Amino acid sequence: MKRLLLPALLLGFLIASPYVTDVIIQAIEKKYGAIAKERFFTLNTALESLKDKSDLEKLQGVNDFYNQVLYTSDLQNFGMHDYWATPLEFLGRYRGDCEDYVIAKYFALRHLGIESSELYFSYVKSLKYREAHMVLTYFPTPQAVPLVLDNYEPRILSADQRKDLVPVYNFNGDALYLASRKGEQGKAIERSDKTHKKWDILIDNIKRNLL
Amino acid sequence: MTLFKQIALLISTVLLLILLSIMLLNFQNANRAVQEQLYEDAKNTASSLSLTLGTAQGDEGMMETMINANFDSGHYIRITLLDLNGTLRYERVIEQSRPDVPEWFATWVPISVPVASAQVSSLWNPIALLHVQSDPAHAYIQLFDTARDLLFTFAVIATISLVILNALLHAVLKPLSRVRNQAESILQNRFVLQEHLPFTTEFRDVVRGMNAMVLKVKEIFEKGNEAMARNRELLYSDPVTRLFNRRYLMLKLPELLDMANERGNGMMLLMAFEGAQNVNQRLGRQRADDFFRRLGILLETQSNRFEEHLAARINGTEFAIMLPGCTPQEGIEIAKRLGDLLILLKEEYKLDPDDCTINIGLYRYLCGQDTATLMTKADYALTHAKAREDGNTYLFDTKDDQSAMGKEQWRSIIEYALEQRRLHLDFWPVVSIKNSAVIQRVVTFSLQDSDESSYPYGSFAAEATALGRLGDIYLIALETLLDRLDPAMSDEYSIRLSSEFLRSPFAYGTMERLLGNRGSALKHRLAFEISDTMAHKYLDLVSRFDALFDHFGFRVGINQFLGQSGDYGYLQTIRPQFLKAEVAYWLDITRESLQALRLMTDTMGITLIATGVQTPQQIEELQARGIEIIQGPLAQTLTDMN
Repeated sequence: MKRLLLPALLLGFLIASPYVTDVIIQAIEKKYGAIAKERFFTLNTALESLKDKSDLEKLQGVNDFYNQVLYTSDLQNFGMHDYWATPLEFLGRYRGDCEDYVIAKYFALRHLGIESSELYFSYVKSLKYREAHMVLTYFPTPQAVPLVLDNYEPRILSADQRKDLVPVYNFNGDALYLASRKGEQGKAIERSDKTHKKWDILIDNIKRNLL
Repeated sequence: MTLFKQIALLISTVLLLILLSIMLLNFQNANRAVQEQLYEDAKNTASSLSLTLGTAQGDEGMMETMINANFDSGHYIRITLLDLNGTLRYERVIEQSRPDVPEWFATWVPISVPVASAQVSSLWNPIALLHVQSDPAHAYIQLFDTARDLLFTFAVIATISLVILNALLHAVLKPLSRVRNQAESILQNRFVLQEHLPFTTEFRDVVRGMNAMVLKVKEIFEKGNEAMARNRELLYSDPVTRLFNRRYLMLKLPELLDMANERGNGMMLLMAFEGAQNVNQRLGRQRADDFFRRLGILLETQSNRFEEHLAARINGTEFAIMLPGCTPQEGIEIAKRLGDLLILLKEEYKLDPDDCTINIGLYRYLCGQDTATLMTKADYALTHAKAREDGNTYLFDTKDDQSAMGKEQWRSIIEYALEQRRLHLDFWPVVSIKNSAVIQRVVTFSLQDSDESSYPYGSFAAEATALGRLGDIYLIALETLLDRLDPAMSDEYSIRLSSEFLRSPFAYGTMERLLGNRGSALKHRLAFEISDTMAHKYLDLVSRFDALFDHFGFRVGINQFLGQSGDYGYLQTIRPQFLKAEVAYWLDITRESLQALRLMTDTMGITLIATGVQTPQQIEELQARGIEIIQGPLAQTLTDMN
């Protein structure tokens, strides 16, 4: 649990406190300017307004908020072919690629109380764009058809409605960590703190409040 | 522990610790890298296998086949598939995993093998969780090889480092060993100058200090030497003829008489010059002095074929020549030649034959005689020479009981004593005046015949020398001495080595053999006494013996010291432990001379000892002159009283 909570705390994950704290917003202003600062205030306000809403309303609110951010490739944004930006980097720069939308939406929804086991990073193939793509999927129950939060599609549709997407692989760092911990009861087997390379780097960056 | 050892130990320890730490760190890194690799392998398998399992779309049989294929083709301890509730769906576990390394290594180096996990999906839905754990057997072999290579490298580097360190330390500390040698030499009263100054500042300062001290000591010694030579000139030399004077003759006589023991008997020529007044009147003071100087040269040259000879001017008109080993016949020939040469000298100085004449009394002295008897008998001979009408020489030949024994008789006595090892040892104490403590015991020996007759050294020395058995007698005497010494006692002993023995060709070999066999085991301190005359006349030979004795830890002492040398440098060469002189010498020598001598002996730690001390009066006078150690009849009395 400690591992799960830590980035949440750093982001002001507690319900009582705002999603992004004032100290961090000041740092964001310093780096990205006053407009960026306003975006984070808006984010805090938006999430605050969603906290007592239903899961679907939370999903829609968060999806709508982040889908306003401009799409840019990692090569243009960070000079790298593939980089998983932290939610602060994503909103601070106000641009990102599909993984960055998924990450930002995931942590915002976690802030709003959605369980990690209900959310997955889904590697998919976009038939429309003929490219590898990533969306955030929401599973109300493990066997349910998930809802898809996609930066290309403003609506939240169920997976079986997304014929333009071919699922390849689901991943959830927090869930994987938890699952591996309780995987084999009673067996004294050394477990690694690592779960997934990109995820591990992302968590490390979030811990450092990378802007 | 020497400085070298301390530094070497310290640096070696630090070096080994550093190398050991590096080796351990290297090994830990290798261990960590191996474990990382094991995890990465497992993770790669988990990721790729989970993607593959996703294509089975929940078909368990297909998934098991896929897991089997992966498990069988790679090195894994286990691959586990769980559903989302954590229930085991399928598992493969290795039957036997035994690393091919020694058991102690596997125990000492536990490798933890982390589990890598991945989620398995079927279309949009996650359906299972996959755990993969690699087999560390191969990693153990890799680590064992790494440890072995590291250990070998460590041993090679440590050995090379220690060898280089040793060489470097030796090079850096080489001057220190020279400093140490110089310091040890100074402690042993050897004053050695170190000309090559060390590079290291601290060592250089120390060497400079010691060199300065050595130079000062040498300077003190030189001053003493010069003063002694000056005083000797004033005290013992006749200013006109440059011959020795009466004072010196009287001091030297005991030694010369002693020498007679080894060389057989000797001759004393006592000469009276008549008409000295005429010579002065006819030639004037300056030419008369020159005449007497030439006369002195004649006496010296005529007697110098006898090695231990002594020519002295007793007073204005009387002269004496001591010729150890000289026969009466040879003495008469010398006396006759002197008479002839005087005639020629008178002619050269245009003196009338009757202006001056010389009368010569010849006396054949014997072993064991004392100075007073010698002088009385020689004077008797001179009186007769003067009274003779038909000539100016007279021979007084003493009857000698012992020499009456024939050579064969002596041979028989000596051979018997050697064969039966019939040597009797006597010990004479050398005592401190202050507390009557015995400082040393002087050893003398005599031969014993089958009828218990005893023959002291002086009586047989000449015959033994002639028979070539003196070395054997010394050998047996020294062996008898070594046998007699109580190993539990640490007394100090001293034995005299006669000039005859030392100069004989077999002496060095005899001593080398004896000391080689017995010397190293001897705990007693043993000193070998050599006469002053021998030491300064045969310095090279004596130095060889000194080096031999020094090698076995024994010292040399000087006896019969008379200050007759003009240069006392030989004292520095052989560094005697003590210096023995007749009590008469110590009492006769001027305070200035004694002071000069002390300057030299004190710098070298040489003890001054008076021999032949007989009366309490002599002890008082010796004490007044700072001589505190005595030998002789009174020393025996003091010991007996104690």
